[in-house]
This record gives sequence, C-alpha cells and structure tokens, in this order.
Amino acid sequence: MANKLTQQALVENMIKLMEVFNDEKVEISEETIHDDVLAPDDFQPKIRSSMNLYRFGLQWIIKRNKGTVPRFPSGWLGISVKALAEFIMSKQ
Amino acid sequence: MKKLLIGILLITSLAANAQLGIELGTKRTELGKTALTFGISYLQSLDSIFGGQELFVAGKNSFFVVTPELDVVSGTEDAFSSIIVKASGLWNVFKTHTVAGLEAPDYNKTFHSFPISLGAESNSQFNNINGILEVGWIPFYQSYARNTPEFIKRSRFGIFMQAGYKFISDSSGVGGQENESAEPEKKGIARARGFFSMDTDAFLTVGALKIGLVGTAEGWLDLANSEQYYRLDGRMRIYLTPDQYFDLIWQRGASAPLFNQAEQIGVGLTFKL
Repeated sequence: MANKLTQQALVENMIKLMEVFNDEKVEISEETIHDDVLAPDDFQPKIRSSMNLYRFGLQWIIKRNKGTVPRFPSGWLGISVKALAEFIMSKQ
Repeated sequence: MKKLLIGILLITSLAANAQLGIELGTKRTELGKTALTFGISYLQSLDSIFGGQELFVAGKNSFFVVTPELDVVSGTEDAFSSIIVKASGLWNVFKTHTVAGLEAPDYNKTFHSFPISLGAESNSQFNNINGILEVGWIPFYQSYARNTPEFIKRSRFGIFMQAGYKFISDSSGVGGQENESAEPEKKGIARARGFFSMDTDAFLTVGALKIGLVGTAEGWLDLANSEQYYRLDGRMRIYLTPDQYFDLIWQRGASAPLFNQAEQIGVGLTFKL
C-alpha cells in the first residue's frame, strides 16, 4: 500500500539514499548540496555511479508511491536536497 | 585523428545535460616515443534527451533504465587507443524497506546490478571494429552507512559475458597500436570479462597536496580462440580539487579491440565537467 508522498518524507528518503554514498563523511541534511556526496564516475559502468543510483532510487520511490516522476532539472547535482525535493513536489 | 576530434567536439556540444569527463596527458609508448593522449567519457541519460520517463521501469523490487554511453581513449604516435559506443541498460534488484512511510530501495543491504549493453568497440583509426552485446553482474556492497572495513568499500568487481562479431580487423599497427587480438575478421566473438579495482581516494596529505592511489585489473577470456588478455592500470593521483586531478600513470595491456599487451607510462590531468 503506497503512502502519501510529502516533501518531508521525500527529504528523509533522499538523505537516507545519500548516506549510502557518503564516503567523505559529510554531515547530510536537507541543506546538503548533492555534489558534496554524489559523483558521476565512482562506480563502473557509469550508468551505476552514485549519482545515477541515487537518482534511479529516488525515481523508484516516487513511482512506487504513486507520484509523478519529473525530468530532473539540468545541473541538479549542484542544488540542495531541499531544493530538489521542492522541485519534485512542485511537479506532483 | 581529425575525424575523431570533430566527433568529440560535436558530442561535447551536446553535453549540456550530460556527465562528461576529459583526461589529457603525455605518455612514453612501447616504441619509446612521447605521445599526447586524451580520454573522453560521456554519459547522457535518455531522460535528458527525450524529456520523458518512458525508459525508466520500476518493478516491485527492481528498476530497469537505458542510456547511451561513449568512452574514448586515444593519443598520437603509437599510444593505446579504444573507442566504445554503446546503449547501456541497467537492471538493479534490491531489497526494500520503509522510510518515513514510503516504500524505498534498501541500498544498505547488498544488491545486484545487471548491466546490459549493445554497441561497437573500435580503435581511433576505425580499422578495427567489433559489434558487442555484453551482459554482466556487479554486486553493490559498498554502502558507507554499513559497518564494513573501509578497504572493502573502496573495492569494485564485476564479471561479464560478451558476444559479438568482428567486422574489420587490421594487423598493420605497431607499438601500442599493434593488433594482438586472436579474433579473426568476419567471425563471431565470444568472451568472458572481469575487472577488479581499488580507489583509495585522498588518503595522504603532503603539505597542501592530497594524494591517492587507483589500481585497476581487467581480464578477458577469449572463449572462441582460447586466448587470454589483461590490462593493468596503476595511478598515483594528486588532487587539485575533487573534480580536477593530476595522475602519474603506469599501464600494461590495452583493452578491446586491439588487446595490445605493451606498456606505457605517463602523466595525465583530468577535468570533470
């Protein structure tokens, strides 16, 4: 049974996903910039880099919880967890 | 070389929404010549090309996604060269858990990636061209939220099966361009491939410099011709920034399609855009 997709729930899930790739031991919060934790080439092949695994994981969460998966904004690695969550929620 | 550079310029002009890495360097080749080398890696999601989500499929405990991918390694003189252009698919199978009331993939538990790709591999002169279908298995066990030793989290490995066809094979190259593949022209290709790599990241600080080590071993088993090939790549990495670094490089053996087993040393500077 899917639960309601809220911004707060989305942020908590985004932080949980980012912690998996946090090799620099950055203190992750909703203000964290994705680029501080994720990279486009840390796992091979590049399709399964931390950046992509995070994005695909997030898309899976949105889709499985009856949300609308938006096209991610250009340069999303350079924005914060909160900003990306707000963008995603604005498309619901 | 000019055609290749033009192609790269075209691709980079399309790269506004893509992941792009550029490596420039100079290397001492097998024939003792100094070569300028460059590497381009490029990955753009089909999502950013088509603007839709139709190529992302979410299953009960898995997802499947497809992207195009390009990897170029080349240089002047007889430096190693290879070009791989492919459409890459990824099927990820994982356990799920609930976070903040939402069903989510549990990346903290080991999960399994099955990359699938269909494409072409060539050298920079385009006189050795193979068509390849590749299916692989790569486990993900490196979650930094897990209490496992750091060196395990820094390791990577995977195995693949490759099947294809050798369209063009030219044996006139010398040095690092010499074709040492036993795969005959106009014949089928059947290989197993495996890789293991370790990247320490910046583990040593000397003054203002941060230094790391990166090592990769890759091997191919040519099932059709009972041959084996390998590639070793060792780097001492000096970080200028996390996205810009200087490498001291030692390489032995090249990848497909030439499978040249020569040796080269060099330096490289990498920018990620």
